[in-house]
Amino acid sequence: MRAFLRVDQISKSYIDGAGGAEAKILNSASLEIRESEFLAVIGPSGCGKSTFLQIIAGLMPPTSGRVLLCDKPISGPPAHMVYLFQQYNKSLFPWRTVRDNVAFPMQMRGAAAADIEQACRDYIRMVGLAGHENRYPWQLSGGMQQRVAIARALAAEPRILLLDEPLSAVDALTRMELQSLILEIWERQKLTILLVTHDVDEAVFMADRVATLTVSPARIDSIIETGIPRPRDPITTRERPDFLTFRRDLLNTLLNRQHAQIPST
Amino acid sequence: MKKRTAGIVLLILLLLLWEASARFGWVKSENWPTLVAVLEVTYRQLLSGELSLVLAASMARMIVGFVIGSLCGILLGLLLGTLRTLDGFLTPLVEAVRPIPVPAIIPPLILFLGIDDALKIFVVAFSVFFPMLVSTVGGVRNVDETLIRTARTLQTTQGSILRFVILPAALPSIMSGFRISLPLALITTVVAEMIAGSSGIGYVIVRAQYAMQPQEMYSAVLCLMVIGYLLNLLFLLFERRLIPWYHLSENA
Amino acid sequence: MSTATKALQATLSFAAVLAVWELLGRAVLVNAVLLPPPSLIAPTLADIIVSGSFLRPLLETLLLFAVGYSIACILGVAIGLAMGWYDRVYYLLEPTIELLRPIPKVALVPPLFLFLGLGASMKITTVALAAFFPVLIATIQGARGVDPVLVNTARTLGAGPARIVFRIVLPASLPLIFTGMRVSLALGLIVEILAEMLSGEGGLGYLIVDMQRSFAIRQMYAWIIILAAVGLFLNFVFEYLESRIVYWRGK
Repeated sequence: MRAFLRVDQISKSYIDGAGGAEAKILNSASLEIRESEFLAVIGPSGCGKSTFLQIIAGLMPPTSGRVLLCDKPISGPPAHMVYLFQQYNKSLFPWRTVRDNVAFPMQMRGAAAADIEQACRDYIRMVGLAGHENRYPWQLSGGMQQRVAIARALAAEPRILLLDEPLSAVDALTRMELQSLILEIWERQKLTILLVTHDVDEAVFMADRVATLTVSPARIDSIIETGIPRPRDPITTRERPDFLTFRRDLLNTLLNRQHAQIPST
Repeated sequence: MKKRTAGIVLLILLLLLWEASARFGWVKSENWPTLVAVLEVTYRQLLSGELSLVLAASMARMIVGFVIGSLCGILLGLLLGTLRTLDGFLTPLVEAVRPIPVPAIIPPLILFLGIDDALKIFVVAFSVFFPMLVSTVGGVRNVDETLIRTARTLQTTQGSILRFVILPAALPSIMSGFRISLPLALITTVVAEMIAGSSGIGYVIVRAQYAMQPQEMYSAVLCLMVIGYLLNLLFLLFERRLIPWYHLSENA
Repeated sequence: MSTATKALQATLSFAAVLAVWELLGRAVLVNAVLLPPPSLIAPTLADIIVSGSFLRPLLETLLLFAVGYSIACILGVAIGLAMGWYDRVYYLLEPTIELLRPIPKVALVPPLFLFLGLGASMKITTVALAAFFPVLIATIQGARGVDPVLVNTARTLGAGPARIVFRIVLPASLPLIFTGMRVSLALGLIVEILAEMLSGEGGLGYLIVDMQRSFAIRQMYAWIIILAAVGLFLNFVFEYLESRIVYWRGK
């Protein structure tokens, strides 16, 4: 299958402000993402997952390498690619109501007021927030805020969604609800989703393929295709033997690798 | 309201003490008129237009200076907040001029601008400019990076980011600049009128002091107090209109 | 941006301003009598500094300011803590303070002439009056905003009321108190200079007005530069103390 989004050997280094020492975050990481697939990238905290995703989103340039979308290299955030931040409370505009937050990308496109009105209603209903249109983000719970962020992302009419640990700051039950919601939207809107997370359970549950990142400097280590049938159920899917096997293998790799990182004295 | 009963009683007692001390000669001074006499003079002069015209003229100068100074401060603040290089060059100059106490710039300015409206408007604008600049720059700097990144991935142009993201996000900080600069504008108006005396409420106070007319002097102070109070009220009203989300979101 | 780049940029901009100022005078674009170029002000300034004649007025201004400012800070923090911590004190004093607060304190300078004359006591009083309110209001806000978790933690650890006020409430309010003191610093200096100008007695403010009236323009600018340096210096000292005392406040 032709690569829809291709990450071609990207590396990223920072110059440490004080010492001038060079810190390498990413070491020629490569990845191919197929159209309409759900790909998860897992790695331990602080391994450079966010940097990886922000480079793909065109929010920061890589030190070397490139990112190709439909064979065209990107420079700056491309249209139809939307980034969902972990800190949903910081990514929503506190001075805009739920409706106005969702309307933002359409306003930026210069859409007609009537279309915006209709689309807002649809997207807000889609994420289950009907009736909350006129509330402000800070009047909502964390899970509801992330729903607003999802609705706003949809309003940008994305083909690709980049999810940066979007559910790591909500409680366990809400997380499961939102996982199902995202899967439902992914299937309905025929989206391509790239999720980075440190939650192995989440990655196996949601994705078609799971890639692992090694620790600093990060590179893509292995990619597995789970083949767990859809639709996935929050309870029964997690009880399947193949789910458990994938989960165990991935946890083994991640935990062992972290172990090996501790230097022996 | 009930909680404040003791406080209001105290305030009334203090005012009564003022009245009694003057009326019964407990304070033996030509310069200690009774409260009633001061109120009477204030009422009479406001009605006759003597004081109201002076006040109106002072307020007009203050408002013009305030608008000019805060507009310049906010615009330059947006520039310095977004353009790092310009900031590196201009901020040292600002930091060098800012600590000069505003009365000190009045004597040289008199040489250029005379002692009329131009001088007073300029001085007010000058004093308002710095707090507005500093709070705008601070507000722009502190806009959360996530907000700007979000807007960028949602295909927002640079200009739209400034208008729809940075400006509203910096507005609370700009408003806190207003909270400082509004009373400062009143203070500076009075200072300028006192030093470059020819007209205005500040001049009235100085003249009344020279002419040994304590009632007139205190009535002018009284009027300034009311104006200061109203300005604060006006500010709170604006704050509630412009950034209703801010205090609520801070408490949420 | 590195410190070296910053220093370079600052030097360049100051050099540019001085050059433009100099050229304006030389090219007769502005009246060089009213705005003498820096090359003419510099020798006058040097004379004043070398002869030591700046010391007396400078010390007079600084001393009176320091006394008034200290009184304001001590009273402001003390009354502010009492009002912020004890509701009864707060409600007793609040109406009176709300009445006095909106008075632009500069307007009280002439009335105080009448009672205290033109000398030191008048200047100290006006500075103290002007500087008092910002410190007071900030302290009240600080004390009322102290996180109850902090206070309750101290209570469970067995701290008595006095310790809670001085060891918990006061330090926790310090960042806000300093914000108030910074506003007071500027206001106090404004009032000090104004009082000197209006009373026509002693200090830097008086000298600036006096030089202007006697048309000693270069001297006037020289004294303004000295006063600006005083303002910068006070700000610097303030920031140093603040960073030392509330070092624990995150950036």
